[in-house]
Amino acid sequence: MDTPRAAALVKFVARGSIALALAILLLSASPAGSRAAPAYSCGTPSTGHCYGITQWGRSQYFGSYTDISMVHLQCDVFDCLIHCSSVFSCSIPGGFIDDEMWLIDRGTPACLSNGFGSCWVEAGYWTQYSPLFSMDYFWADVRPGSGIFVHVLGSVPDHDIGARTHFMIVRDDRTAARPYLSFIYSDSGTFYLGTSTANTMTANEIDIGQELAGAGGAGAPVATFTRNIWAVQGLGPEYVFWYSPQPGAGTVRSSNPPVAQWDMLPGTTGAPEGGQFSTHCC
Amino acid sequence: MRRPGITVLCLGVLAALAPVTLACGSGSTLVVQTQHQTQRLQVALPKGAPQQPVGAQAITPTQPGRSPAFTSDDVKAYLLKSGVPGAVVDDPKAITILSIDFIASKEASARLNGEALGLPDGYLVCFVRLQGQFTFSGPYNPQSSEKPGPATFTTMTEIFDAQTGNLLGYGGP
Repeated sequence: MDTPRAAALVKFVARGSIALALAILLLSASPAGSRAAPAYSCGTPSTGHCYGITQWGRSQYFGSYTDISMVHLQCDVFDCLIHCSSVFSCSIPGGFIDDEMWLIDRGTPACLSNGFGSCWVEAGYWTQYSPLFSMDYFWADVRPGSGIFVHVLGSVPDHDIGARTHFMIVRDDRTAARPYLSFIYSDSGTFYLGTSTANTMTANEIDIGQELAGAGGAGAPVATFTRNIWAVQGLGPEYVFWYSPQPGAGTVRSSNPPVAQWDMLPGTTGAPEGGQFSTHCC
Repeated sequence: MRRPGITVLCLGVLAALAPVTLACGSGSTLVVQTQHQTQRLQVALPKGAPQQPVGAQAITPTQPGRSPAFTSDDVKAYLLKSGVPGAVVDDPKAITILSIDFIASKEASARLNGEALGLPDGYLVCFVRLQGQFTFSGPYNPQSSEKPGPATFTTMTEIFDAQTGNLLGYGGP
């Protein structure tokens, strides 16, 4: 067992976290525990993350949409549960990995000055330390004049894996308040709807891809993002998502890991609507 | 219906923009706005009742069948052992618990500046307010040199389902 993990063991025993201490012991003694975990430098759960994404920008987006092919995201106990930066510094939780979509405002003054430098609504799925490395759907928002709030919706059901889940964020213009709606739904019955109330942001950027936090131990098979489209107007009484396909590749940022690339550019012969973008790790 | 398939209907655009209408291969219509060269297509939104969020496993209920199904001491024990999302401190003991309240979802939403939790108004939740150093990252920021600038808060909130103990959400002010 390496020194930071030994320190973590002592710390958890001291706290009475016998289950966690046992987990460390068991995994350290197992062949899997002795293997060299893939290492990377992607910060802590809070800062310094790595990204495998593409970004599009224009004066205004009223919403965004992508289909993500759902894969098993993995993160082992030494990264997702415990993050040790030194013998004296192990923390819980550790890292995480996700696939997701962001609708972002980088222009409104109240967003530029909020510490993040932006407001946004995001939707996706992740795996992290709790509950015991299950995968969960989530959405989150940062609204002008407010902080961040992350909504943990529920675990990704087995029948969603291997299929496509639809992620849609759209401004609801049916009321004067114009909240943003965050839809997560699959063809096999998953259907979550979040409402970002009192959100006056004007989105001018869409990102899709993978976010990674931690120092090692995460993994993700290739996931594809297809039907990459954006809303050309807010949601009206007809209750449909008016859209246009993304016209180009946007700006790809690949920290390697996560690895991100275009498999088929938008608009090319044989490509799905909005192209096919993919991520994998690590 | 809980199985919201996607339908591309491809139609309709402002007549004032003098659109050019083309025939799509699958019997739908693609309308091209010649003025802005922007296609306008449509996706049907999912219909029916969405699922109520259930969150992620967190606090183990110690009073199953009762409401709430766990106590403030259970919350404290959980936070000590499991840490706090977004916290960058090494020791959860460095975090101060300001309050633990069992309140209705509507009240919790009001305390969060109207953040909608997706629960019935009267649904009982455990609202926990913490003090410490809590840092959250945003999406990738192309304006920064490498990585996005995080935001740090001196308080944060965690919300648990008062029946299951599941973590429903968290955030900074």
